[in-house]
Amino acid sequence: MLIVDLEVRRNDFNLRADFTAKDDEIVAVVGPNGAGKTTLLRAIAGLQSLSAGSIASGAAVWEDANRGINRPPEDRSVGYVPQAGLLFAHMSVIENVAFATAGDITAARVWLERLGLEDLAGIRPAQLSGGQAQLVALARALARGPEVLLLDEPMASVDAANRAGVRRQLRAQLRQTAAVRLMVTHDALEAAAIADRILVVDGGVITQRGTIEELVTHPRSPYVAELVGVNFYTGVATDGLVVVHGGGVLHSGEAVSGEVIAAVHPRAVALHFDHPTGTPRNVWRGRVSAIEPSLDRIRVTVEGDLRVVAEVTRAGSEMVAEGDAVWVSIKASEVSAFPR
Amino acid sequence: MKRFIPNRVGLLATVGIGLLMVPFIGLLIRTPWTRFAGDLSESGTAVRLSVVVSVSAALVAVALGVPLGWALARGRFRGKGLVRAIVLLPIVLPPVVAGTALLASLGRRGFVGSIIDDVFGVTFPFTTPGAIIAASFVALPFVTLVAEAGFRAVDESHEEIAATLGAGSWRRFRRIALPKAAPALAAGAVLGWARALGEFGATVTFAGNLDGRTQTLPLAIFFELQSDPEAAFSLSLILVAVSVVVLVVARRAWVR
Repeated sequence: MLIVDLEVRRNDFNLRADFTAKDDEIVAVVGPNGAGKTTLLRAIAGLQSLSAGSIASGAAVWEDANRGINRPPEDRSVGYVPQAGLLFAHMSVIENVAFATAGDITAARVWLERLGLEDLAGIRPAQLSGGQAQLVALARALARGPEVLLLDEPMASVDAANRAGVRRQLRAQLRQTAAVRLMVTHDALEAAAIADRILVVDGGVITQRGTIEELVTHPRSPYVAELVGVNFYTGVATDGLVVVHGGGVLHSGEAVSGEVIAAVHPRAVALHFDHPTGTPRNVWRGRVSAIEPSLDRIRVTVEGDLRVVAEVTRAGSEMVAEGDAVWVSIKASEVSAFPR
Repeated sequence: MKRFIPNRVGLLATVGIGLLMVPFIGLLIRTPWTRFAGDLSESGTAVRLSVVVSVSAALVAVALGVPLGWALARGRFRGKGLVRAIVLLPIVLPPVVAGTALLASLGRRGFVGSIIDDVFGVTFPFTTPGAIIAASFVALPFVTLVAEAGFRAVDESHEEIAATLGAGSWRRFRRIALPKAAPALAAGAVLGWARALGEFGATVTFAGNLDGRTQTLPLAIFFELQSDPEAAFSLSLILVAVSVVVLVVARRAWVR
């Protein structure tokens, strides 16, 4: 178990984070660039000293600014896979892994076999693809047998064609590893695919923590809403009727009152050319301002009383064009409203 | 725009390269090729001594200069600027002053030399170790500065990763920093050795000119010039040839 309650102050940047990560879970740390994600990992690894607070793994205190405890990285049971992998260019793949096993080549070979990399043992890192290099870096970090495994954007240097395969490998390996596993990413899909729990770091603080489902239904910030791709509003609610800041109202199925956040998944937003029939509680007229294709669907932005993004099927999208006047309808049960 | 060199600049540049080339042409003309081999064998002692002194000095300079370069590149300590100034001093110092200073400190009556004499019964003036000390003194700054630049060029993030893989500071230095800086360290060693090979002023001042003990090639050339200039030309040509080889070898390490 990793217990973190730390503060890092630098000239240009402050980071405060407190959380506990258990041995049986994979935690994703997501956040925009410059949010402090890498600084958090470096602090845990012992590469960045704390200004205040402490880091402990189980009963072992790794760092405690108040008590003047600061173990160097080599005395922390940690495995760190940095963004660029950073394999040692002057050593072969197996020598890189053996660096973490104190020169034990046999043990290093076992790790390469576990990741299906034994064919690469003799070659130099310069000849590896981005995905292979990342997996070797993972094997090297695992080979130390760490209590805490830290991965910084493990997919960043993997080209798109290999991404799915490497992600599957990464997921399988992380699932098998008995350690606290902390993975930094800015990709919600990656976090959803691999992690059990998500910490959102923004501006040097943890702004939200929860499962991906919780983030989708209850985004606490525009950043999280953008990350998971849902519509995000703030307003004042009276028994489920939300008067949105900046204009417009939303009916929610949830009987909340006071300052609230309201979130609507784009797939719950229906578009019509004629006034919709049936009983949706939220209906308004708007004008299509942007059409953005994604893989199997189209994201349509509609400006009206409220600005909303709808996801429609490709078939449906052929009928709308920018500038079209449309009706927007959302069922009240699809509007998630919760106190700020 | 077409690039061109203004006439005045071109003229001065030509004079400059001429100043650098003409002496070698003169040396080639005056070298007595007929007795070249004979001069060489007659000066065998000086040649051998030069090899011993310059190689020993290079080893001393590497053994001390690499740690010093590491400390300057990575160390965080007070007075680092002062340390660097002390390292640079022998480069700008006239060698004869260096020799005088060595005499004043490590000579028979110097404050360190007298202690060494009392304790070990060893004195440096007029001995080969004295010539090695003089050559090491002038070679050390070159090795140190090139090593420092080499260590600076090594990306620290690799050493950080090595630390997270359980490597202590010595293992990080030996397995990561040293191999990565190796080309620069080799270049520094060659440069230091070349400086030691050519050393004259400090050696003659501190260690004296004793045939077979302290009379290295440069000293032999200087004193031959007064008795047998032809022999001096032959020996000079050897050092020119060695320098050219060093330049070619070292360039490969520097320019990459």
